[in-house]
Amino acid sequence: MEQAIVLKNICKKYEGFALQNISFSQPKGTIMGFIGENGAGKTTTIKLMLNLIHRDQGELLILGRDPRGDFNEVKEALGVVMDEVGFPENLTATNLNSMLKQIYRSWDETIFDNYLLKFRLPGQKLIKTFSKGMKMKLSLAVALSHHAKLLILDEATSGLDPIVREEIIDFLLDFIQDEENSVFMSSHIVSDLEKVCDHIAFIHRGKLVFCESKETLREQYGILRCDSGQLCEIPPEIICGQRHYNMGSETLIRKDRYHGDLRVDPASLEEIMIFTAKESK
Amino acid sequence: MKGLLIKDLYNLKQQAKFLLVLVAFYAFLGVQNNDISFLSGMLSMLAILLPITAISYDERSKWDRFALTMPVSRETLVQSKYLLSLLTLVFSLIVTLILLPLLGEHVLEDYWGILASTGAALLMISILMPLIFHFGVEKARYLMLILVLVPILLLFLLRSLVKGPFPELAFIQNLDTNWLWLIPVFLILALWLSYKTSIQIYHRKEF
Repeated sequence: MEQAIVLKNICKKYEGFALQNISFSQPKGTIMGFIGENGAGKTTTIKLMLNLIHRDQGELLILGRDPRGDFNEVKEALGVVMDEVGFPENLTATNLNSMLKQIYRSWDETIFDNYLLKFRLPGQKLIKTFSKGMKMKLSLAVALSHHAKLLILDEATSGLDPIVREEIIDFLLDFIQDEENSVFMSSHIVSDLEKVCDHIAFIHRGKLVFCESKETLREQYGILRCDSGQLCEIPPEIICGQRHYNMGSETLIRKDRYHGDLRVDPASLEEIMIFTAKESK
Repeated sequence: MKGLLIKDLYNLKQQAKFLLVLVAFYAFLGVQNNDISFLSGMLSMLAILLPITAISYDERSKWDRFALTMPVSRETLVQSKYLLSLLTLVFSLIVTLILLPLLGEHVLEDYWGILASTGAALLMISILMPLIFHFGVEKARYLMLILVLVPILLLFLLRSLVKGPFPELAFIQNLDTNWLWLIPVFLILALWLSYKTSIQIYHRKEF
């Protein structure tokens, strides 16, 4: 299967933070969710993928090309939404259209106008007067109006209301119906990712904890609710994280390696993330 | 490239309107005082100011980071800023050349003055651009101020030490005009060097 994104042993060192040996790949035609706490290295990873910052070592391929080389051809096929959107402030959405028409060869005015209507964005108002949510929607409209093959979304749904988020999720599902298209998205709103993603990559303190398909995660992880006596019978090597209460505890375990009789509830993505992060502190 | 320039022009529209009023005001003053040499200097200054303002807008809105996710290379971004500077400089030169005959009397020396101030503006741009790309507009502004003020202050100091007629005036009057063609060559060389340096700096930058 052709890969949309390939990362091999990517490292980037800052003072007080380091991205260490990040390796994962995403096949074309899929949606990958990128999760992790604030400061885990999500945005750093995305910036490396776009060559906005320089990696210290490792191999990186986006749609088969290294971003450090001749990358304009690939960027033509990328739709990128960053958490802080850098629109020129004294332009209107209409001005933006005349500019982007010159920048993207495949810029599609009709699609862009449709998105402005759909997202109820005024064409003649200065962008600097837009709210955060409006800027985010405008940024999405830009990312979606030049027939991109790979969408890279960094916290793109965070500032938006549930209705628009739902709309975007529907769009994304529609978007990957074409098997050439792929989406890589990071978000704090894990429930959104749980709805749309095929694969989940989890990064914690600069290290990749796992990159698995959603099905695998569902099969591998489960939540055990029991008292401390019962807990003693669980082999410690299958325990991935714990939360203690007065009355008992919740334990995230490797369901696939548990052969006992206690009831194991399905673990949500959020639970997997929180429990694992807690454990590896 | 065209898209980037279109963006800068849209971005500067408000600012440019204000500057046109300023130019009109100085033109009026010039006619009143029968001295328009000041106007040409003013216009070249504005020609430097506009591209710098454009870059400071970009910095504030984090435009570069966004632009680099589009099919725009780092070289093109740097090129567009130099091109914008040259365009505003040419534009101001044309405006001055049109205004000059309209505003009454002028002599050959006025034209030399225009050329000189355009040249000075070009040199300023060449020095300023790499500083801006390296330090950002805010810090580069102060550095430029220092770069301009220090030689002036030094000159004043020297002057106060030397008694009698101004030696620098004599120096300029005795200059061999046969070497005058060296000035444009020097300016072009400075611009080229500045451009190469800016590209180098910009390649190392992280966003």
